[in-house]
Amino acid sequence: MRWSTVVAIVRRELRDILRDRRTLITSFVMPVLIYPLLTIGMGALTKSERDKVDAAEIPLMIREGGNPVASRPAVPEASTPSFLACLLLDSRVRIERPEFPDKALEDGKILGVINIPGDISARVERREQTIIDVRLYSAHPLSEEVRGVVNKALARYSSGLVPLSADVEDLSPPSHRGAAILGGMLGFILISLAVSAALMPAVDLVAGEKERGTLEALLISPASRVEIVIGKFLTVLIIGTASTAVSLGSLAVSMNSMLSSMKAAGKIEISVGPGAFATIFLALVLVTALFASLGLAVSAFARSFKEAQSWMAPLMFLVIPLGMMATPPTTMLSSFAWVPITNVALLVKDMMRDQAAAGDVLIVIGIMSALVFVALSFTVSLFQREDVIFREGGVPLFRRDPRRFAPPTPAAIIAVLACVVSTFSLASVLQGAHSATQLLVQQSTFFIAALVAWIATVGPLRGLVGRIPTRAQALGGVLAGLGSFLAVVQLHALRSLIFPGPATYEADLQKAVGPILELGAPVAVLLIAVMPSLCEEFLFRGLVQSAFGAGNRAVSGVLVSAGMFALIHFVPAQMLTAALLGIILGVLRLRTGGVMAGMLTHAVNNGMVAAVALGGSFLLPFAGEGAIPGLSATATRVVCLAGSAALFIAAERLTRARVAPSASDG
Amino acid sequence: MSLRAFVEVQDVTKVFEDPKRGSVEALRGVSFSCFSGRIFGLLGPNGAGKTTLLRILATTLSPTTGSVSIDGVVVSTDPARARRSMGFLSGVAGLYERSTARELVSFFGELHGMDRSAITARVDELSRLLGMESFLDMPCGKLSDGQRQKVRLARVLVHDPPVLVLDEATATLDILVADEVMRFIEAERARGKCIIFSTHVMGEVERLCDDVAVIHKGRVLFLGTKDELAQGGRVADAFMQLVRGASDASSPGAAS
Ligand SMILES: Nc1ncnc2c1ncn2[C@@H]1O[C@H](COP(=O)(O)OP(=O)(O)OP(=O)(O)O)[C@@H](O)[C@H]1O
Ligand SMILES: [Mg+2]
Repeated sequence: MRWSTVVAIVRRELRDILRDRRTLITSFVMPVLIYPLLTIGMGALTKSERDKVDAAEIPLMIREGGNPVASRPAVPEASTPSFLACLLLDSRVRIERPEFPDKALEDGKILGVINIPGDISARVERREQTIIDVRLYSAHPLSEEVRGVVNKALARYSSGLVPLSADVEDLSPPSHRGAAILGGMLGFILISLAVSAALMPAVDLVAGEKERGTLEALLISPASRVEIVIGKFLTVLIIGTASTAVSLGSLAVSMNSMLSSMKAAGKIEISVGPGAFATIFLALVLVTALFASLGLAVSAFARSFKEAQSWMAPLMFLVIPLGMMATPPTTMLSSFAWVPITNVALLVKDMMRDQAAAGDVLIVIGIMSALVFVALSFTVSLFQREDVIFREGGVPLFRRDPRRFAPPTPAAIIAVLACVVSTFSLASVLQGAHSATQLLVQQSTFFIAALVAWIATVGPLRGLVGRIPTRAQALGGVLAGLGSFLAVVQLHALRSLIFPGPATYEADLQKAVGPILELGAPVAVLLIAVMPSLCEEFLFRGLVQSAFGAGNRAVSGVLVSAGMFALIHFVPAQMLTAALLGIILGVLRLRTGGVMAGMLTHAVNNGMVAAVALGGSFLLPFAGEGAIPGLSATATRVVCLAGSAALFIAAERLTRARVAPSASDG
Repeated sequence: MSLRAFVEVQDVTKVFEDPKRGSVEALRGVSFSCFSGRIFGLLGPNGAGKTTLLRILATTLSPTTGSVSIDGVVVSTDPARARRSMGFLSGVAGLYERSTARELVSFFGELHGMDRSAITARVDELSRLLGMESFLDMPCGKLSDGQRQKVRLARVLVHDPPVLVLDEATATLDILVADEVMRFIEAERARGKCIIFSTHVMGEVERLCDDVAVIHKGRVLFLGTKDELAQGGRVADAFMQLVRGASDASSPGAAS
């Protein structure tokens, strides 16, 4: 075996794959986007659910020695609190005294009944086995909170040595218990099955026909496009529904046998009444219908079966987060009835535990039916467009003038990905980390992404660095760095008018880089001045600008790279100054044909920032914040702006000096 | 001859907006007429715009400007009627692999709104005319190229349309089957059909065509009878001369 051959093959295959934008998007962009979004989304959802639960009242019936407690005792006892007082320390507890406690439990009027033995303090003193009797109804989403309240009270009341425990009895029927445990997941699974049951035949029915060349014959027949679409749609719906029915049945059978042991013990059981079953089935049929028509739409403009399949992945990525939203035990249909897919998953869950309100069910059915209608009309309209049916290239949905916009190269896509990854990793994963760590991670992501993208898609690394600047150009870079620092400080005054935050540049700076300064001056200079000027220049001016600014699109290269450069600064207030710096650096890259002059500019600018932060605040007046001795604030501002302009003009002269006009870089 | 123009193509242009290549002018001001009882041959090198033109006739594409009328009715005003009065056969069209030839042809009969008995009778008739008896009940996936082409023809003819549009109908056939197909086309002409026919095989043009149009890069280079094109010589020579002359005038054409 010759490794050179293997390497040649790997290179060719990789290049091929990287040039297929669809594969790139489905196998890289989507997962990269979906998981951070999912984590952030699920995190936010869990938090908001938690907040809701934390704010919710917990109506309880509490008996002490058999007698219902009437209301919160006015003054909590001081020295040794009673168990009741411990329970009531949770301010969410509200005391109820229903006539029929078990009925009230089932209806959700109260969440639990707690029986405290009358002689509890005496028994505890004698260290006798004491049991708090708790009843709850686990099908109710908040029932878990009752356990929490009791457990907290137990922990407060006794220090663990006392043989005191709670005996929890669940009044909800076994089927509801099963639903509470499995409902969320089950809805998600059923939806996924319904979606794939619809998508696969939909692809075959249109994209498959196209590929086999049978579609044209159908289009030429007197059958109208509406008839064709509806015919195909119904076919997919029938197949999908049948498949959903089969999977529902098979799921029921296998669940039952799996759960039969638990069922025998009377603990868990999945049983769904015929009405609920029919409703669930109807909702799933609507999901099938929605994805049947979406699948037809997608495969209408796919040129081949394979292409259609690669479009299916994004559709699945649409389903996953929506379905996942239904899985936390406390999410209820009532709050998500308007969200398609999620609402169906929740409908499954709440139908199974008998908690779905008829009005919400109607909303779900209505929303899903409306979506099916919209999707179907969209599909029909696609079938009426010849540029969709006889598509030669590109996605007609995003049609644009090909002479003005060329598609971004794969390198550009990877670069965009790198920004997204590093920004999201900062936003979510590294949230709590030291800002030095965040900076390191972000900067190395930039660096690695630039290298990988360049090697994979463009070629020799020399091009990433570009031309070595002449001495004049290097000097120009340094002057531009000073000029940008002045401009940035000036811009800060402007931006503090728009965005809230520390008013002075210095205060803002301390807030941003304070933790890094504590690591000592050399580290601070390395992290603030050196690393960003290397890594960010490689990625944004090296890769992004070359990728988007090839050929005669130099200007859009500058703008796109500056825009992305601004976006990764994440804090809206910093974006303004970053955009300005980005444009300056982009122009420098064009001027000098390489990234090195820009690196100098970036390093000088950030170096000034570090210097000011490290105790050089006496420099600030010369950048226009405050007043230069002997001048008024306004005069200082004017002087600094003029200085900044002068520096830029000088930089412009110096960098222009020796660039050959034939330079075909970009 | 007192023939009336059954199909009329008037000043048709077609511009494709291709995301990669920009605007592609596939047809530029094409006009001609085809008559009942005559065969109209459409000649042109690869990428000339023949398929595009025939697709416009068949209503799957609409012209950017200009119009097509069949039997006096402008196609774009009533595409469904145009489709009923026409059969379009493309050399590359696929067949439903898991349907039998009979099922496939019957299905298209149903789309044309024919009733059961009419379909059965027509399928039997076509299978006799085209010699399809031996494989009528075999799945199309198992048929040879020649057999498949006959199924395609039968599919196009099931409603016995007055206009036949054939795009490279003999491209994949051996000379024996091609001969059968051509004989069938001649028979249809004898029945008064208006037949429009594109091909790269000049022998077929010599044998079949009454009228001829040569198109190149979307423009009509020649329009007239076959004899006017050949001028006593061979059609192939005349064709090559025309196309080469046009290519020399502009830059060399790209194949589609
Ligand atoms: N859907 C489309 N989108 C964009 N361009 C198209 C489309 N269909 C055809 N073209 C272009 O129109 C021109 C004419 O193509 P057409 O298929 O009509 O040629 P043809 O004469 O049938 O060629 P051949 O002899 O190879 O079959 C070609 O340049 C082709 O690339
Ligand atoms: Mg063709």
